[in-house]
Amino acid sequence: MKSLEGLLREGLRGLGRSGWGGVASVGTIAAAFLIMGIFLLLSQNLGLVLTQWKEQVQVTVFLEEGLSMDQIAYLKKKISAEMAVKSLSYTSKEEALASFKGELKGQESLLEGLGENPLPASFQLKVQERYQSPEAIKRLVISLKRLEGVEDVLYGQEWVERLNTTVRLLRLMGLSVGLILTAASILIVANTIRFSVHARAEEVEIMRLVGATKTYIRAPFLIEGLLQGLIGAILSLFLLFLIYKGVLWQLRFSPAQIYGLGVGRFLDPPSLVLTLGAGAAVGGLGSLISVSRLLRI
Amino acid sequence: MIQMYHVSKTFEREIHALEDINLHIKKGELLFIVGPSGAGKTTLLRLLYRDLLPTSGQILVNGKNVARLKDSAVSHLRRSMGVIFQDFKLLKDRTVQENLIFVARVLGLSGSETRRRVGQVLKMLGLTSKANFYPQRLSGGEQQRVAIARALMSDPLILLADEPTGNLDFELGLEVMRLFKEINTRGTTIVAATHDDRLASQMGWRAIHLKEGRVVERSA
Ligand SMILES: Nc1ncnc2c1ncn2[C@@H]1O[C@H](COP(=O)(O)OP(=O)(O)O)[C@@H](O)[C@H]1O
Ligand SMILES: [Mg+2]
Repeated sequence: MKSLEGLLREGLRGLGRSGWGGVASVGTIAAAFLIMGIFLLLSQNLGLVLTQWKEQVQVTVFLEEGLSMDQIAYLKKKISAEMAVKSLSYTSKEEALASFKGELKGQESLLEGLGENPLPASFQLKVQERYQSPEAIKRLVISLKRLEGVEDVLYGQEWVERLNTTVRLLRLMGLSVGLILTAASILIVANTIRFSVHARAEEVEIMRLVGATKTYIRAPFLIEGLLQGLIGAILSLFLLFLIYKGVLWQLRFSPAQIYGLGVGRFLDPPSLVLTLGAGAAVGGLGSLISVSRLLRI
Repeated sequence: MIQMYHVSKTFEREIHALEDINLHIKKGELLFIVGPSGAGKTTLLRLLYRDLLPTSGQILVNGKNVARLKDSAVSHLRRSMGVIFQDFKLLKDRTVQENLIFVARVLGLSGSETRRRVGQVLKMLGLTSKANFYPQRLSGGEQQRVAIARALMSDPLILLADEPTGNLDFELGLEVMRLFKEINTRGTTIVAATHDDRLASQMGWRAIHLKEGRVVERSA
């Protein structure tokens, strides 16, 4: 039988011979994987933002007007006793107004008509990781609302959920667009390999008639398809990396990066390996379609 | 070694290439299939190396029903046979030697076996000086001899020859027949198709005569 090296050489030679057909195969696989890669990268990075955000999940407990220091201290003790609460800090009415003024920056005049300070005092809670599921947070909020002296409870959960949906939607879109393009790539590889088989029809016929096994006849074409897929996948990763670097450069002064949020991460090693494997699989499958139809014993 | 029972082959549009062929070929035998063009000789040989399947009837080669072979067994069967094709089927973009090496690869011969065997068959067919020629640079007779050389690469148990002397003059044809005789004495079963009555009777081998797909005469 043929050596692996010999097979690889034949596969490469076939790829060289396939010319524009080979370029088309490699190109569509690269395009399909690039699009999937962009969605994957986006959702992966948004997911990252999501976890960073979750770590900072804050629940704000607004207090009723006119509570005494003792009442506030008692509330603080009660809230700290909740299992889900990791830490809490107190913001008085005055501090709230000061930070609000800070946010308005130069438009303080808007506040002039307000007279008395309308902002409530509040506690900011950080939630234990274990209690960051939507259900657990809801439970916490309900029990906080029952406490004496609590006016209202606000939490960032809605945002987290919305972002979660976005990530899921991105994954779904990437997957469906990617699947369609992958199916197209498989057909294009199949077509390229069909041309390769026809170009070598005489050789194949002689091989067959002098007793070559099915594997012997098919292997070079399968490897040719496999290589097309692999090269397409490598190309897509290369392009994806360039795009990724470009986007990071564009975002270099964005608040997100300055605050260290979602600095971005390229595909992790398992995803890289998976992409290469998927490329080879797409090429191999496309080639198998043609080979099993055209090359019979 | 080869048995055919009531074998018929019909191509599309009701072309009856072979009808009710019964044939027994013993191991080590040398048999001519004689008949005019269109008699069904090529079809009969193609059935034997299982390039075609019979429309009806049974074909046994080495005791195995060729219609029921798995793919791997078909490859194995063909490697035990040498076939000389009527149209030679040489690769135009390869030299004589490369055409032989191509087959050696399929047969799985090692490098040294390949060199030895290529040298042998080239010498046997008087082609040593043409080893590096491309087929198109050779005469019809030389190309035919390359086709024969290639069929002998595997040192086959059965040699199937389709018009092996079709492009040779009578003298060279006899030369090839003497070579066949020699190969035959070393144990190879040979089935040779020819339209040349004269050659067949000259050699005095067993012959069956085909006409319009039927056996019309058997001579010992
Ligand atoms: N692949 C084919 N399709 C249709 N008809 C064929 C095919 N091969 C051979 N035939 C027909 O079968 C008959 C026998 O052909 P063939 O076996 O080639 O005869 P021979 O070799 O004796 O000249 C002829 O009529 C030929 O036209
Ligand atoms: Mg013929």
